[in-house]
Amino acid sequence: MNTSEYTEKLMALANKELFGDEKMQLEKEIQENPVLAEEYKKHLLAQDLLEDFIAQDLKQKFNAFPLPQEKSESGTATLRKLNPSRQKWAIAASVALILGVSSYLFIGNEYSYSQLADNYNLQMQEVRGTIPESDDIIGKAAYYISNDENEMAISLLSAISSDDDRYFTAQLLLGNAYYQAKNYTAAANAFNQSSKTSDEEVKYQGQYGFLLCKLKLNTWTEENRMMLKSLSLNEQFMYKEEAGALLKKLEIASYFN
Amino acid sequence: MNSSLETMDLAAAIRSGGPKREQALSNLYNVTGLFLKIKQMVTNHGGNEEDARDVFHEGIITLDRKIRQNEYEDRGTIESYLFGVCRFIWSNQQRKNKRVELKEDFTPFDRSSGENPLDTMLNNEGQHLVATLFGQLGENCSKILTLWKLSYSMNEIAEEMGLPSGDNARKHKFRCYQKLLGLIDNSPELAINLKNVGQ
Repeated sequence: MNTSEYTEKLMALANKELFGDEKMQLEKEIQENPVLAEEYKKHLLAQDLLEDFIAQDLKQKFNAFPLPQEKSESGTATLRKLNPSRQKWAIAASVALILGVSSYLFIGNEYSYSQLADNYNLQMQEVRGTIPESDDIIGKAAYYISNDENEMAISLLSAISSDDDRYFTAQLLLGNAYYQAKNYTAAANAFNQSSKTSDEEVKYQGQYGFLLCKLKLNTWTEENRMMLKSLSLNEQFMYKEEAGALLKKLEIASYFN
Repeated sequence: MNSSLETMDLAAAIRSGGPKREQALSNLYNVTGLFLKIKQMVTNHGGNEEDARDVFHEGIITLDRKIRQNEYEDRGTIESYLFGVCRFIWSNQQRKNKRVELKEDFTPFDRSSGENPLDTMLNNEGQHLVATLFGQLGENCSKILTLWKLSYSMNEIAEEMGLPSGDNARKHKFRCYQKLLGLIDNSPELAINLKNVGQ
């Protein structure tokens, strides 16, 4: 192939227009040829820039539109509210995985593992109102985490020993607190502990948190990828779709890490 | 428009790109009660109407991109999916705002706390960078590449751009794409970014 032909092919691959054997062959060449890999990065950047430009253009158009008529429709305008028991659990253990919108604008090295993890931030389910009662350590710690008072949360949660019923939930929260405090090694340990529970919701979220830490620590392995794949296919995992999206991003990132 | 959208139809229309995508986005934008629902969510959580409008717009942009990049699964209604996206966006925005506030009040030069308090500034820089780059690329080239990225066929691009044929549009597209690669090569900001990739 000459240079123009390579450019055509790389352009098609970056725009997901290449399929089958042709795609596999080119991907193999990119993996084996650092010069080609370097060139391919440029094509991926070009695609991202185009997406950013499209987003900006769309935003400008929307800003010129009048807002839709504010006519309420029964059934559609009702906000979902957590029932008390779900809320209790949410305060205790749930972790929302937020797909960041920062990727719409060109910031930093989007394909480094660390940056990828940033796009899938961990965040506690919304915890509003006053601090829970003093004997509710889990609720109290969740409150502190939601307010970024991580040291307070860590101090409370560390006191819950492994023979306590709340241990695994506490470890999941501890993982969150350490993660927010950017202590990814400690976060990975806590998430790993939480994933040893038989409670599937806590277990899968612990696994996912652990994987995000591995990205942050830049110690990503094939075994981790398999675990992420398994989560992305797991109907019981509430953030299955986010796991799937991250998996796709990692396919691109594998060229750069 | 009725709010009971056919998710498959809308997603398929967005995915197929071109004029169908624009129509689908316009329909989605005007779904009865959808903006109101998002406005209620934002205003119930500390935002105002302007915040709600921004979140609503960002949400549709996010949905559009996810569908076109095959990161959207056709499950449930598209409205509920969009609502979820908007909720995430607002929640994330609040978290960032809180951190910027804390940073200004207590530790203006401390880079160690908070996720990324400079996000807003970087976002603006990013926007400026993209605008500059596509300004250098020129209006015609920007439009051709945008249409291509939005899955317009070469014949449709030719028609939009007043070019004689699809083949001619293809040649223009290639030249414009090469020009974009050249601009990436010559942009110091992007060169730094390329260098950092993989580190």
